[in-house]
Amino acid sequence: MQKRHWKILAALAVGAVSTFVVAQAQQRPTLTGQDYAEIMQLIARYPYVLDTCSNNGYDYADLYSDDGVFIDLWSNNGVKEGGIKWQGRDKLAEAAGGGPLGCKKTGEITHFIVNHRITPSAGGAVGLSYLLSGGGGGNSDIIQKNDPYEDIYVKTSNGWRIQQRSRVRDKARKTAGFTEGVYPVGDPRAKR
Amino acid sequence: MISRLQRHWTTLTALALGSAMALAVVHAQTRPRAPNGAIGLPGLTAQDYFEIRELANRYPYLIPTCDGEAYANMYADDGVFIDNWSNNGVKEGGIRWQGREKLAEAAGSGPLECNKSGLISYMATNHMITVLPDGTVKGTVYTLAGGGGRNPDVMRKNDPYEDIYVKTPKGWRFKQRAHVRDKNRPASSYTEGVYPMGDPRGPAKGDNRRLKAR
Repeated sequence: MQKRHWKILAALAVGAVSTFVVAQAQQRPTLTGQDYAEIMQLIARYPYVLDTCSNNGYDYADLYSDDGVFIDLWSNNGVKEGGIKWQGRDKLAEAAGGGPLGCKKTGEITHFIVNHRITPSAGGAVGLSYLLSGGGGGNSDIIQKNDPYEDIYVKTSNGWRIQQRSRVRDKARKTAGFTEGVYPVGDPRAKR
Repeated sequence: MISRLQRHWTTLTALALGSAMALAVVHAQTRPRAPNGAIGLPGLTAQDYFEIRELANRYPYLIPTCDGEAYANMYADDGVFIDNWSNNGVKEGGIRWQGREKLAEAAGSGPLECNKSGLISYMATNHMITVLPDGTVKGTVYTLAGGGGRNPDVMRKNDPYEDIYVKTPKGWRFKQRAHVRDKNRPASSYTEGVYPMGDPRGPAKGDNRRLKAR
């Protein structure tokens, strides 16, 4: 009797483990067409809310999840610090030039995002896009290469949002002029 | 063989049960899909979204080819192109091309006899689609264009298109496309702009200024 039970339990375990392994192997992270569309739209919106500083920067902040963060890994300070972070709605609004900074931008669109690649990941999706911007040869109308954004997206109850956006340097690019970079308001490192 | 199967039926049943349980666990782990609540896309399916994008992406290829019929096909029957960008366009509060013939003319075909080189010079970027509470689907596309520093290969900023899209029996179409100025951009060089053929505000017949302007 005991031997028979042992057999049943072993068979249960073998069946469960093998099915689990096969099912997990088949279950690569995937995105629906709707997911791709919504993530693309999120990034298409980015330049407009950033450059116009609409709603005092809070339209920009709303592109991020509640725990979302923007990381400057592009400016000289950003690289030196291993990334300067803007996290939380108020800090994200500030990153767009709003909040305590009061939106002193002209509102001219200067960010143009191309080559937006989206890859499903275990937590949602990751993305890579390349920024073109005005200012080539010192002329704000001339478009020049800038550098990439590296993103992590997450699906929230409000739809897809940026969980992390890092502005990084294209390491293969030799000719760039990088800005010194800024720190969030109140960051003690700003006074060093 | 049958008697052997009968002897092991409990083992086989247990195997099947274990498999089913594991499958149920894996299925439950699948990330739940929240209802469509993304910024700018309430009510639009992915199919809608990509059709609208395709419409806007098709645009820069048709403009330089003077395929007036294909250009007009991108618009709804009552669709209209509005020039609110050129000097004349801004002065007039918008110069309108409406109806298939006029739209074909706006693309440079028809009576204008296609005076273009065919060079693709417009690049559409930052295509933002917004659904208004009343269901109107609007879009903004920022164009970059060749000609920076008078070099056709150097890209420069142009200005936005502001669109209204409508779903017709033939698919998504422009109900309205307006070329507008980026109001926040420092004064740029704009063309004088042209009027539709026959418009009394335009140059007299035989005047080829409109050909040059394009």
